[in-house]
Amino acid sequence: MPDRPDQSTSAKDCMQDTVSDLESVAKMLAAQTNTVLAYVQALESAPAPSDETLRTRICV
Amino acid sequence: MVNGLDVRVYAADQLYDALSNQRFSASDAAKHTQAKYLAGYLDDISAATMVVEYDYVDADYLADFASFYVSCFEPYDRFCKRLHFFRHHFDAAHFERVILGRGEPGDTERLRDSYLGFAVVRPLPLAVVGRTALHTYPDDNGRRNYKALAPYRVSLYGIRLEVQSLGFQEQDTVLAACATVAIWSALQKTFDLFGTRAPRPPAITSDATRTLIYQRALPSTGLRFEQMMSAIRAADLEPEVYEPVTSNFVRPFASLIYAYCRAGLPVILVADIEDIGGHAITIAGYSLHTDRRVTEHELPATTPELLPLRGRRIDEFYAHDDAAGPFSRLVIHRPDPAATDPDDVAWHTRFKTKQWAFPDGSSRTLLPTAAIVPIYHKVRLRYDDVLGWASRVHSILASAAKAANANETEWDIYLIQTNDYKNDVRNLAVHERRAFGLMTTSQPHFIWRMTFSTRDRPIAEFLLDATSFSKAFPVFAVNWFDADAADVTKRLIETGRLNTLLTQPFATLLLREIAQRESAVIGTSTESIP
Repeated sequence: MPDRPDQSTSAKDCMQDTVSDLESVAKMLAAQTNTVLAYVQALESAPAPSDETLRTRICV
Repeated sequence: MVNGLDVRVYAADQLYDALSNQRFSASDAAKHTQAKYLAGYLDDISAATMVVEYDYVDADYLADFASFYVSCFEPYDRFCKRLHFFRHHFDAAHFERVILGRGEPGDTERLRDSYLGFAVVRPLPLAVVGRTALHTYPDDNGRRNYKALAPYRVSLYGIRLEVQSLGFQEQDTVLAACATVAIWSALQKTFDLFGTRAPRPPAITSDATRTLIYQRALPSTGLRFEQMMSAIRAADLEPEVYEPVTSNFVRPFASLIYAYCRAGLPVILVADIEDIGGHAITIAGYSLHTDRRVTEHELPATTPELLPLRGRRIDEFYAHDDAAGPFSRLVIHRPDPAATDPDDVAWHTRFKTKQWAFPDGSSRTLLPTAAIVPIYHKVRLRYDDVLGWASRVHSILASAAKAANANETEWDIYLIQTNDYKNDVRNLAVHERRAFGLMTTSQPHFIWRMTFSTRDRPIAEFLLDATSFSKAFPVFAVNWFDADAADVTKRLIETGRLNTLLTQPFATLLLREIAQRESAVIGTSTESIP
């Protein structure tokens, strides 16, 4: 099974133009860390179904 | 009727006649919601011939009969009729020749090919539609996906037939109300997937009401949510429950349902029907478009963290609604954001279905209370956990994709079994040594698969051990499909600024997998690629 050919030279050039400063991109992404981690924390600690849900009567 | 064979040209009035009994007339059937739904459905799937099988002993109805009806003073019959539907035309004389093996060569195969399934007719005064397994609609160029199907094997006068479907029946409000029937449908498929129990409706109602008792068990007029969970536990499965909204975040409900349904798991949706009450239906499939059905601005402003998930391309689900019929359309309803209270974070998870209408004909809204996934106990990693790992790596991959001028990205996240995954590996765009390694290395039985793509190509795929748990590090493999994105990701991680976001094990795994990909492509690696 052959591997995918690498992306075209133009795509690479474009990438190098856009991401001229990976350090600043990384800094920008790192600045979002707390927001993402707060969301991850919320996901990991999702509460069990509420009492209201558990007592819901399904009778239609 | 010819020589005891009842073969009819299919038409709605013939169906209504076949559904009738001494307590339920054909004109009653013509007004019966489920009968009308079946008539329309059979028209849509091009039923041409109906065979009526008399004195059929249906195991599900027999359980109902033994549990309740036999002890009524009124003498209910214990035999049913079973209606079989075929796509091609034939008459009783032809059918007799096929039964006796005196037909033309290929007649039996033709019968098998055109089989559309069956419906059991119960000899009851109202709830006549018993166990029913019908062929699905055509897939409409891949848009309609019916995933929670199982093989239903039938012997009709010695002829073996089969249909891929999911069992449906209407509630009799004696042995089973909607909650029991929704569970019964779901357990038909989990039996096929996991070999777990598939109890009949009276046993489900009994399991549900064994310890949580709020009223008499039979006649059953409904269950509470917690009783539904008890019934699922009694079938050797775990009830994985997701409410659409928690105190901290909104769940991407369509993507969540897709994530399990894609694996063939039926999802039981418990919803509040506007001005009516709680209802349970079993989702068996979804309609997936090639373009988005939800735009960014339609997402609730209160949940900026939501990832671009595949559920945005789904516009409706296909569900067994016992008050309507099999595979009924459950349309995702998104009201005008401008006219919606932005604090009402649950608005985007509502559904509409034409089966539940106001007197003026407009559809009522179904507001989900929760989704219950009856899941094998070894699948421990929840969808929420998986979403967390995607969130950690999303911004990095999005930056890498943006660097390659690809702004429109999507996460495809779903559960898969290792055998199915290994079958898919053959078509995966990875080096053949990598593919060989993936196919020959032992994997967890259940895997969460997360693929990050741009509009025109996949970027990377992450495999998570679904038998793991939330506090562990479950990612065990990453497949890179895009060399540029892999390179940018590597350079971003190597800045050392993203370890807190990713966690050290994840960052290490990403770098290792990128290095292995590079060495495999260059052909300098001497070590095996797992």
